[in-house]
Amino acid sequence: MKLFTRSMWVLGALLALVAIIACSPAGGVPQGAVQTVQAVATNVPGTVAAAATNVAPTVQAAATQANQAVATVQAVATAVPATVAAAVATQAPAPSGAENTIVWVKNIDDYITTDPAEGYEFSDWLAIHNIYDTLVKFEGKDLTNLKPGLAEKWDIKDAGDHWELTFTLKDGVKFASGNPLTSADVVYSWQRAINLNKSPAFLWTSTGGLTPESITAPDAKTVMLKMPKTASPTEFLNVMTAPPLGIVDSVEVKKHETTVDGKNDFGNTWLKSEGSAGSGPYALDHWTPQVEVLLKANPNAAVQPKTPNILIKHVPEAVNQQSLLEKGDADIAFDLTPEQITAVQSNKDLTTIKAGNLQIFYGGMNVAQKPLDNPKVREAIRYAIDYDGIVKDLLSGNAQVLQTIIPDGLLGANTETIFTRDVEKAKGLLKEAGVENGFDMEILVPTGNIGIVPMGDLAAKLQADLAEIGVNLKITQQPESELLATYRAAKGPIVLIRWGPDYADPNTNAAPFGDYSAGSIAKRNSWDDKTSAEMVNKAKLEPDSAKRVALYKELTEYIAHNGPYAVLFQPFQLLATRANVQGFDWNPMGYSDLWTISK
Amino acid sequence: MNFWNYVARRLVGIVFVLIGVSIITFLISHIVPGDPAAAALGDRAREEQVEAFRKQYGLDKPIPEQYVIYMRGLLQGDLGLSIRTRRPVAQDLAQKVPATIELSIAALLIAITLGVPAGIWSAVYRNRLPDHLVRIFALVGGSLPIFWMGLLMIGLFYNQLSLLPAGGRIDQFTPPPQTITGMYTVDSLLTGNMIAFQSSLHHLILPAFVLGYFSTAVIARMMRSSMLEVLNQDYLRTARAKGLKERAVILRHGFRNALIPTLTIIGITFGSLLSGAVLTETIFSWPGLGGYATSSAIGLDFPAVMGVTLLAAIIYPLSNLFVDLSYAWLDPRIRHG
Repeated sequence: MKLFTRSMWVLGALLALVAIIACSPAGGVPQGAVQTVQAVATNVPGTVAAAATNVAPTVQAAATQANQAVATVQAVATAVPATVAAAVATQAPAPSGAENTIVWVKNIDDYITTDPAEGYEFSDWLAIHNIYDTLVKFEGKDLTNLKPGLAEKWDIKDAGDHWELTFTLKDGVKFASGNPLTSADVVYSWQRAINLNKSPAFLWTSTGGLTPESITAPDAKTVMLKMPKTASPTEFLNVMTAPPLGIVDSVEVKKHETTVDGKNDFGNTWLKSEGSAGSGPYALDHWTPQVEVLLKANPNAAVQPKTPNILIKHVPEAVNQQSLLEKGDADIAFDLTPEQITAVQSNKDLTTIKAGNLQIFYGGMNVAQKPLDNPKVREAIRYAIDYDGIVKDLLSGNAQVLQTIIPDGLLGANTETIFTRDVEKAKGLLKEAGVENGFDMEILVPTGNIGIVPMGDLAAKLQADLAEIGVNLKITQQPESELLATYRAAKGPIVLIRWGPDYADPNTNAAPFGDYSAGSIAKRNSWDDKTSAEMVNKAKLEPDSAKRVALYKELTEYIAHNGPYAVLFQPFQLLATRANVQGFDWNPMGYSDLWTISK
Repeated sequence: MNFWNYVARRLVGIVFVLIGVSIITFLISHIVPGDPAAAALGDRAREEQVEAFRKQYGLDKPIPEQYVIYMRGLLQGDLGLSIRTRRPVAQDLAQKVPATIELSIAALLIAITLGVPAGIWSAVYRNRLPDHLVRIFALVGGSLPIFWMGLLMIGLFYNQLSLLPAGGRIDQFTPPPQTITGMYTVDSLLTGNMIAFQSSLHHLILPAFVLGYFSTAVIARMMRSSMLEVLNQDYLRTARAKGLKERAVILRHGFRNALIPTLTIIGITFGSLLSGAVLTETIFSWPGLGGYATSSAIGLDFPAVMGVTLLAAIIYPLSNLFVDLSYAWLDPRIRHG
């Protein structure tokens, strides 16, 4: 018993001691010391033991004043300098301090992989885009002017029964490993993506109509694609800017190929979380799930980043993101709420950014549900909605009105105001449709917020607007995963939801919304319209950009009036940075050129 | 029946608990509305992708068959593949568990160290200022939601005083220690990496205090009431009559006997710390089991939810068994069997 009582006091003393140690300046501001040790650890391993043990005196002095338990701990620490040296020296090369690192705080719960052939989440793409180069690219926030990437030029040829796309690669491009980039790497990268058949594989197979055999390399500088006539070369060029189409170092990746479940994993296990093999401005230093991703400058990259390290920290709580940003421990905060953005606007040390976002919020009206089958009823609903009120009041100006299916930022965007609230006109349309007394209808809404949009409040606003024309909405809120199951089965009445594009081409919206056979949104709303489908296909296959834009204008107007959608708005992406952060641009596809950022 | 028979019987009981928990969790997680494929793939996924996903994860099979397949894998040590992270659940758990254990143990240490003396102090000075102070402390601890408490602590110690960090396990520019146990404070001590030790300890204090505060309050109250009960016992009067100093009477005779009910609470508290860690980990960006469990539940990640539940179902009875066994150490009259 005596032992127990004593041990309790020792425990108390120990806790008090460790609190003092941890709160001491050495514990609170370890950065300088850390950097010294890091420098030693990476450069002169032999002296690491000395450097590491030099930090100990504070602890040692404290320990002698306290109790045996701590003294024992200290003994462990000082009695094994060889172990210390080995341990510190074998740690991964460390990041080199705050001044050389952009710290981006973000909820990276969705970071699943760093393998371009697998990544299909926003956080994945943020890293992959900066590690792997693509053959063609968009720069900054622009998504309409295609620029040469790894390919210096390309050519599209009509070869009769198929399209032939030829890409000529730039000279002198090297991977982070030092290996030269050749057409064999392009063929390997894309064939492995198709063979792995992960989430992005449809970009090649479905959108591009490609098979592993249709991707060839006639020589070390040339890549050739054979595409079926059903696919659009213009669309595929835009697809090629997406991060999954990034090129991996085939020599390096092949070294890490292994067998998983009896199949070649094409290096996926390694590329997923352990390493990277790109030619982009950054290479993966490490990714610890739900902790952080550290990108370090790739010394062999053609474009050297302005800041050598990018640390993407997992900070799920927006309140904490704000605290870290305000204190200067973070340079960019991603998930601040509109209220937080407003709150930090008066802070001179911070800059707030309203960037582009290609998501569109809309109400899908299932035409299998009467009276939504009547186009006049759908048109009446569109005229009854107070679009400006939603954007200005409900969303405090953090969105822009959008009434068509192609948002601002994409080629062929149609941001015209087609519907201005007109209650009388809406009532007239209902009368023409034979439902002048209105009707009751259920509206399914996801629970909580989607990004900055409070979905329940949005539904309540629509409910109030439509009540004025006698349409009584009964709001049913469901978790999004439950709602999507109903929506996919085309069993929803009106569904209030959002859509985000897969890649930077208008067909990524036009086909799902306009073509029933695409098996996506039109199908979920039971809208099978041959005219729309033909217009979608024609616009997709048009090689001339200017003509494409004109075709998409026609298509978006046709769908706006005839389709089963009430498109409401596209929100902005809200971000905040420290005021000294320069060169930051947000790509509306959901990532950023990190190599242009400095502070 | 001897001691080891008792332990063996309890361990067999745990196996049955696990089977029961696995069936109930599996059923509940599979009959809740919602489509895991939709949760994992989002609204952009096309029909064939959704179907392929269901097939890959066996979600197209009847629930009993899915359960049999799951249990077959479990017996071979395979907890399945996480729907959300696309990695083996066992691998995810191995990464998350040490962080949560480290946090929970630190919280428990704080709770015991503060709660037990506070309870004794409160009982000895019954209805006087120290007692009132401890009761207010316990009331606040028992009433303040962990989430709110965490935000207040960050506001005070990070934003205002700049004494402690707002979150994470280690300073963002300090490399973590070489992994041995996965607990940064322990690993850094074992490898003699004092910089990492200081930094990880620095990061541990605030979340551990927030997580441990509620338990401190519970332990303090339990210790107070059991101590009060003991203080009125005849044997304490005898001890005083023998001429022992009051300090010795309380600590040597009173404390030991008052500790048994408190020990039960401590055992239960350890289990609840693991569940309380869900909120604490979210607030403090602590990459442990709590955040993993929350994300898994939201993402309808059945294999991960099963893994976390089964792990909790092992830790709870084991911590209770440990407490039961410690009774005998405290009171030699108690014998298991």
